[in-house]
Amino acid sequence: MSRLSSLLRNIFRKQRVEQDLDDEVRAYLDMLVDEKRGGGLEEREARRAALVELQGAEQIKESVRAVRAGATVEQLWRDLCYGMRMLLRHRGFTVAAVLTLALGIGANTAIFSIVDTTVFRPLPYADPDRLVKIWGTQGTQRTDISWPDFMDIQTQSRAFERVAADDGTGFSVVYNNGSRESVLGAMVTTEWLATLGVQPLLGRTFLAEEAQSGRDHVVILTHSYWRRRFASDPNVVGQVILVDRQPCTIIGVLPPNVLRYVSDFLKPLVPAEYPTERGHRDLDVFGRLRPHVTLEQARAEVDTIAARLEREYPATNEGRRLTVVPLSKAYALLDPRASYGLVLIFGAVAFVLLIACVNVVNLLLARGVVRGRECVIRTALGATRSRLIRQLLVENLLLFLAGGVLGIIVARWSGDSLLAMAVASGYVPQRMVVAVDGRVFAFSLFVSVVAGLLFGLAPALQASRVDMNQGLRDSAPTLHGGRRRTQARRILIVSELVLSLVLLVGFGLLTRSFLRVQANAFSLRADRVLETSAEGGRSFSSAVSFWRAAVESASAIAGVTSAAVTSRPPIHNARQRALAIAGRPPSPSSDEVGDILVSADYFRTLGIPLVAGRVFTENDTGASTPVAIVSETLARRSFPQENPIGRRVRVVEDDPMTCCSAPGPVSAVWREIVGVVKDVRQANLDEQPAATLYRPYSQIVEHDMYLMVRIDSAGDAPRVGRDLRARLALTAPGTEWADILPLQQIIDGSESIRLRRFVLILLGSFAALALLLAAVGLYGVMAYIVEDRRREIGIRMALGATSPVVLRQVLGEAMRLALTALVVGAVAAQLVTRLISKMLFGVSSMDAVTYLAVWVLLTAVALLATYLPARRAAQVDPILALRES
Amino acid sequence: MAASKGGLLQGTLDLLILRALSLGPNHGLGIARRVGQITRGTFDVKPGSLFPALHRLEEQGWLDAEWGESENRRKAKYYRLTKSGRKHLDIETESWKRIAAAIASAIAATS
Repeated sequence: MSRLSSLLRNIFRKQRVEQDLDDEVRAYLDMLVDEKRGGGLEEREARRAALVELQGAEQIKESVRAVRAGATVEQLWRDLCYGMRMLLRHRGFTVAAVLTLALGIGANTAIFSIVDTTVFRPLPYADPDRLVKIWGTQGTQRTDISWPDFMDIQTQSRAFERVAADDGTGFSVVYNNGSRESVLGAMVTTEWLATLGVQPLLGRTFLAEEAQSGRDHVVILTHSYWRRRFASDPNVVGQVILVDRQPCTIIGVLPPNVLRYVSDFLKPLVPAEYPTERGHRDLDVFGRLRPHVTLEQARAEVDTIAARLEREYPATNEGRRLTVVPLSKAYALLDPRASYGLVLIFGAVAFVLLIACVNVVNLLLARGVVRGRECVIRTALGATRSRLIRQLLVENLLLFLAGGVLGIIVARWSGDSLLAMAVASGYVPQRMVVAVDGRVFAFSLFVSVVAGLLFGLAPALQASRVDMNQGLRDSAPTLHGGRRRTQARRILIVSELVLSLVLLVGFGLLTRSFLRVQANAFSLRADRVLETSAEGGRSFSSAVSFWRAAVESASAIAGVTSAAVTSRPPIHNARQRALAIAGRPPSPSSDEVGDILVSADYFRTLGIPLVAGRVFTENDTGASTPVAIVSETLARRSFPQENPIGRRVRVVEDDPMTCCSAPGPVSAVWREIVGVVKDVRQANLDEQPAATLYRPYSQIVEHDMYLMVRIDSAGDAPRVGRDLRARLALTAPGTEWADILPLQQIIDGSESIRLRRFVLILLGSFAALALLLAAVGLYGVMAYIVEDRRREIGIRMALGATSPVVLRQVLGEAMRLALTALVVGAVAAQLVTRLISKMLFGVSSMDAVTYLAVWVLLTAVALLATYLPARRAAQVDPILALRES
Repeated sequence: MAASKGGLLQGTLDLLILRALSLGPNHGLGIARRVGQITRGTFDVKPGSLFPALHRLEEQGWLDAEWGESENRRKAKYYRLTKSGRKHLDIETESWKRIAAAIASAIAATS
């Protein structure tokens, strides 16, 4: 008989095969009995001797089954079925374990989906290594690019095979059936798809002439839009929809998942209808490098172009450069601090998974007591140890996989809000598509399987360790191996507590850092300061009178304490300039200072205290001595052990100051220092205080400036905002003012705050989750220990121990565990928090307050989790406990 | 030497079973006893190793099995060498002889 036909027979005629085997073993036994009787033994004696020689019919059958064709697969299948049945039977256990794992794996999956989109996922384009994103830069900020700049890149660069640009906006679409919808669309240059190397799934791509006004009434649908709105209609090409009241023909459909940003359709960008000011920067630009052109060559080339543009168009392009990054990295984290934060979050969420797994191991160990007896019986019937281990492992893997599948649901469910938060905090670019797809699915299953193998093996080994003599004799299998098992569970619970302690300490340290950063938001109440901005005037006198009028009309509003003008309010990078000091050789450029132009009441309005000298007044005009005020840091740096007041300084401007006007010369003016003010953290709240030089706007004015208004009470902000808008419209008709926002809101949206807040929120939720899991785990272990010792407690109570004594003893035992965790955890936290030292601000990683708070919290939670089991122990009725056994 | 399950090399047991069956079809107990005879009592094959071996050899196509009646008029499963089984026995016998001779000379050389 061939191996294959044996396999088929074993699978499809299983009953027959089994019957056959049974008959064969029985016949063997009968013949053995015959043989013994032939040797002169009694029937009974002969049968006994035969049975001894046979050494167990069931064991023989089991060993035959093990060599049969397809035995491994069949056993695996049986293990699966059996495991499923066991999980379904012990529902309470299964639900607890699966939920725990779902939380752990779900949290990891959700974080992974975000990290994957921004960091790992390869670009879905042909030859993606040659695709680069072209950014505009201004200092450290990245900006979009204006149409004329884009045209110049296109015509002047040699490094690119093609360049393309797009601008996403909202459109109002009316469909054939008359329904209207607001959708997101992108206007793209006609070579856009060709640059990416994307072919439409249906229809065609844009033609060059469709960038002409009047010929641009064509759209290409994205796959998701096509599926959502057009029910994947294969005949959609040729249909007409109204886009912004203009009939547009659908000429194509994109393949799925080719856009990284949410968009519903593409439309040709018509240069003739697009804003052509150089200052209007709204285009996303990318290009495809010519073969063998390196990134460095391309970068050098665009930098040259940018330098040329800066020279030719200083009014709009001063201080602006261009740079090139691989497209695969362009949508990744825009900020190294953000990537640092994401790594931190990934680490924290891995801790949560670890705790969840340890919890499940704890549950499995507890159940090992029950399973131990079953294993004894199965061993007696011929199952080998490896057979038992495999079966238990399969069962545990099933548990983890169920957790993984549920985890994906958790991830999907929490994904949207998490993503919204990540976008708002600057961790993920706006409108980015985060797909919960095959990759995320695979990640989740991978995590489940690895965790299942790692954490399912130990309990399987434990439960399968069987001592036949003990096991069959014991009426109470709990006694067997109970001590060791309890010890293992104690170690596990301590490690859980340690893990949560580390998370809590991390969270505590970051929270305190966050509070410190926020406290840096000046001595002022930023919720009582409003901010807006406008372009004042192109000449000195028009700009100064414009701003003077603005300040006056703002000050006249009821509820306004003071109003002032500045070229750079806090949370804006100040322009950096070199400073020359009279009587000293020119200093190296490393001694740069922030250069800010302000009006007289600026310091009062922002609550920046004067340390020495005087503030500006309205008497500091073009006719009087040029003056300046320095920050404390600048005073300390440039005039150590000297009085800076009365010293003369000059701002060194290499290029013409086209942004500013003055009554006399704009640059190379010597100024006398008249005052010293407290430091301000100008750009970011968690930076070192910067050296800043203030100049009065009444002597040199910038064309674009900010109006700052301090109000009496934060509750008044909306009303004052409305009044201010109305007043400003009267004072300077036709001027476009930016939104009037509380400074607090701008601070909250600033990098240092929002990056930290995102980490804090996530770390906080993970720490809370970890604490909850650890508490549940501790409760489980203590309940188990109490149950295990019922008899002992009964005896002790019979011998005179009172309830309070027993209660104290159980609580004491839990406290010993907690205490161990506190000590070990503190050491572990020391090591781990060293990794986050970069994110700490104004707190040492050994911060006593944090450690104390976490210790108190953890002890309280441990007491709470132990209280119920302890009370149950104290209520043991000695008579009942003794009688039970 | 009592051949326990672990003490007997698998290949050896297969060879002994095939050899025992080359003398004619037999049932399980008969095979066990015949192995005892032809090895002059050196190998006592226990059912715990005999049964898996028989089923494995059958699945490999070297043995055929059918139900028959024993000398004591009991129903018994009879095993018979197949053609390929006989060929396999020849090959195994040859290689075993070579190994045995090699081992023997090795022992003679060292002692």
